[in-house]
Amino acid sequence: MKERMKMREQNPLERKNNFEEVTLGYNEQEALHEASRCLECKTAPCKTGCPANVLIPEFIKEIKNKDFKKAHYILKLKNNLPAVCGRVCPQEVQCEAKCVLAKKGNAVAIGRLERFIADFGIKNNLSLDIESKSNSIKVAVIGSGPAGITCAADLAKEGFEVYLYEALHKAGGVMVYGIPEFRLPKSIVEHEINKIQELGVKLETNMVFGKNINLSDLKEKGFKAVFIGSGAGLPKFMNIQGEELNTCYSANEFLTRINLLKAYKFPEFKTPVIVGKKTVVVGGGNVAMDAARCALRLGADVTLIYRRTQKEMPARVEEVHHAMEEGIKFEFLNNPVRYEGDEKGFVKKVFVERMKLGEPDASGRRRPEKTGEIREFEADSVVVAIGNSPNPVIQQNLKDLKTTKWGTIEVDENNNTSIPGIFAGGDITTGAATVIEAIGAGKKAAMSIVNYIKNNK
Amino acid sequence: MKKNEIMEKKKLSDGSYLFKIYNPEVAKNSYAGNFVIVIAKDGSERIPLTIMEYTDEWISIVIQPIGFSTKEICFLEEKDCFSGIMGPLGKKIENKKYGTILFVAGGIGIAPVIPQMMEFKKTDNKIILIHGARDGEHIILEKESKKYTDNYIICTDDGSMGKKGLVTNAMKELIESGEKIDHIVTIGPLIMMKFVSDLSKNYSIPTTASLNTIMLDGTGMCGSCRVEYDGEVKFACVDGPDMDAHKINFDVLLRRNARFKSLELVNGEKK
Ligand SMILES: Cc1cc2nc3c(=O)[nH]c(=O)nc-3n(C[C@H](O)[C@H](O)[C@H](O)COP(=O)(O)OP(=O)(O)OC[C@H]3O[C@@H](n4cnc5c(N)ncnc54)[C@H](O)[C@@H]3O)c2cc1C
Ligand SMILES: Cc1cc2nc3c(=O)[nH]c(=O)nc-3n(C[C@H](O)[C@H](O)[C@H](O)COP(=O)(O)OP(=O)(O)OC[C@H]3O[C@@H](n4cnc5c(N)ncnc54)[C@H](O)[C@@H]3O)c2cc1C
Ligand code: SF4
Ligand code: SF4
Ligand code: FES
Repeated sequence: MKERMKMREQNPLERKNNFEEVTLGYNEQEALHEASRCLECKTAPCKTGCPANVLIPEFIKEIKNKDFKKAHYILKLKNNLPAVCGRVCPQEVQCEAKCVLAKKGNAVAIGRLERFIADFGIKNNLSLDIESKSNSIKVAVIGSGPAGITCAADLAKEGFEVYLYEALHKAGGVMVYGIPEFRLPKSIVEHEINKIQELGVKLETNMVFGKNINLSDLKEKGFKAVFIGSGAGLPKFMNIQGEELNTCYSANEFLTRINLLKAYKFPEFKTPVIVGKKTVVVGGGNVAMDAARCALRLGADVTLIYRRTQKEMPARVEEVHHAMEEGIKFEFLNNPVRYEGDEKGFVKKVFVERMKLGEPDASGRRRPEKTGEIREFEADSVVVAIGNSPNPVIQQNLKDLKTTKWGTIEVDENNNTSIPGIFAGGDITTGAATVIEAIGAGKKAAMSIVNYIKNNK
Repeated sequence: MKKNEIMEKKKLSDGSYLFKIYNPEVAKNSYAGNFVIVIAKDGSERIPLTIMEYTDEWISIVIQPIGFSTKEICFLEEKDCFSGIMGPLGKKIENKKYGTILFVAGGIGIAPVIPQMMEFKKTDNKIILIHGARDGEHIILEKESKKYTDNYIICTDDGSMGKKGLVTNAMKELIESGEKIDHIVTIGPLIMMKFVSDLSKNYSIPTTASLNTIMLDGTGMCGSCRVEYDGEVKFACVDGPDMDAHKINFDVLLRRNARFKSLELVNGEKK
């Protein structure tokens, strides 16, 4: 049997000095090779692994036929952002995990094929050619992350007059402020945003729902429904000594400075960031990996501290692998206990406690336990990447909106919130999850909104 | 009129500029205590500035050109548009009758004080203002200040206008004279607010300070603006900017506000 096609990558020694994309994508020949491995299973178990039910064998079949345009069409039916998902989906635990070939450790590289086709679509500026007749019914979408973008696009395709309101000055959510350029080029996100505007979606940035645009304004202007996709952007801290130090950042601050505000191009772009010679990153997820790899590219020697072992790390395997190749040091079974600074308040030292694994906790992962053994590391900066909670702004301003004890907005299986006509989806309802889950939620909510408006005419 | 268009630009005697900006959505929702995040041009920094006046259509801001981004903004002219204005952000003041409210403003800090005096006047408070600055030229917005105050005290470092000396001296004098003060609001340089806060603590007068921390998003997403508040972490952009001064760790704040000093731009270039 043919081997899974490798993807070309920038050499680790080179790429650790630039912000250009790490993985280079398949060329046509490579894509054809990989596509030929798909067995086009009737049952297509791979589809059940994809939260958006992408028509996997169907689009792969068109690659085999070299009808990339058709493949693109099929792909886009279920996934509005395939160029993004092809790059950042945790495929190894989603679609590819369910592929029949996965048992032999040789799953079809669905994500890479998805990326190939999506990039073909971008290069050739393909559109979906959907004729939508405007019905002049206004719907507002709050937040322009993957959930909001998807919901807005699907509603526009149905003929609705969609206004997409984004708090920041740039649309894209985590795709622009969190995930770095070298993993997801911002030009791709921009392309997708342009595409939904071509569909008729009216994007308005610098608009914060609950601040300069409110539910009462929307009602007054005749809006019939609202979708909230405001994400999980509230950074968590550990509340340990020294977290207030000058060069101790939340991952959100660190990544926003670098990705959204382009501090890596300072002073061409005007927002600064200071990493110093040595950076310690705390955490084990994608966010921690992104922060560590950004710090490395800004010239720091980077150590990542995670309280469990590599096996329990929630980050994508590929990202951990890339980070290790680039020279990031990993200190597993360690947890920071305090940071020490100099007289001006800059981080100097990180004190960590060695941990050991105990009994499994609620998540099924073995719980890290303290050992009392403390060590110290030199560091000039620290990035705390231990997770994000749901954004609270909207919930605080809409008192009738039911929330859970985790602060997420409560929704039913059709993404209805407790207020009729208001729908929600993505990280704001699930807590920090994945791009494709947010897309899935945006799609489902769009359907629910269509039905809601039909029934309330 | 386009959104974010500069309707009027006025130079004040201290070198600051007052901008009137067209943006009905922001203006309609604004109230004393709110600020906006301003982006001068595409690629510029996101800068927090207090909303001074608000109507149904426009807001005004007063900005002091102290570093690269504030200067970049001051180069904008009438009819130019800001690339972005986001807000109103932060908590609105809780407007009620305290009795006598003493405002202690330093330099440009008078701009954020004005809307507060205006609103607190509406709820029948007696308003006393101590405005301190380097010299007479740095005493700005006198006309507006007079309008809302029952007692308006000016002090300058060099004595070129009003009393000579620091705002804390004037404050002490006022309190010692037997004036009963129910609440203090202080806005100005951090170091001044720290001293005002220390002093008011001695007299056990509840005090609010407006925190000018370094911000990015202004919506609680990044934690850049975090302060140590009664031993807890709070975000000035959503929990403030006006916060109980006696609970703020000013020393941490002073250090954090200087954290990018080494990267300050001179004419758009690194030093
Ligand atoms: C650093 C990082 C790396 C990640 N890596 C991956 C990965 O490799 N693969 C993967 O699948 N997932 C990854 N994720 C997770 C993924 O990005 C999120 O699950 C996904 O973006 C959630 O989408 P969303 O649309 O729900 O929200 P978001 O993408 O968070 O977008 C929400 C948007 O709403 C806006 N907003 C918030 N409040 C308001 C308001 N009041 N008014 C108007 N707008 C508002 C926000 O500014 C934001 O733009 C990563 C996350 C981070 C932070
Ligand atoms: C809620 C809020 C309201 C504000 N309202 C006003 C206002 O109405 N008018 C006005 O002129 N300014 C106001 N400021 C301060 C203003 O945002 C800063 O002066 C500006 O961000 C400095 O940017 P810069 O690039 O010009 O200077 P930089 O080159 O970044 O800094 C110049 C000097 O100022 C210090 N500094 C940096 N950022 C801040 C900051 N956010 N606050 C104070 N000092 C800082 C630096 O350490 C340095 O010493 C406010 C700040 C906040 C947080
Ligand atoms: S969207 Fe993600 S999970 Fe779904 S098929 Fe594509 S890569 Fe797999
Ligand atoms: S399970 Fe694997 S081999 Fe079968 S259709 Fe899906 S991708 Fe192709
Ligand atoms: S400015 Fe980002 S959280 Fe306050």
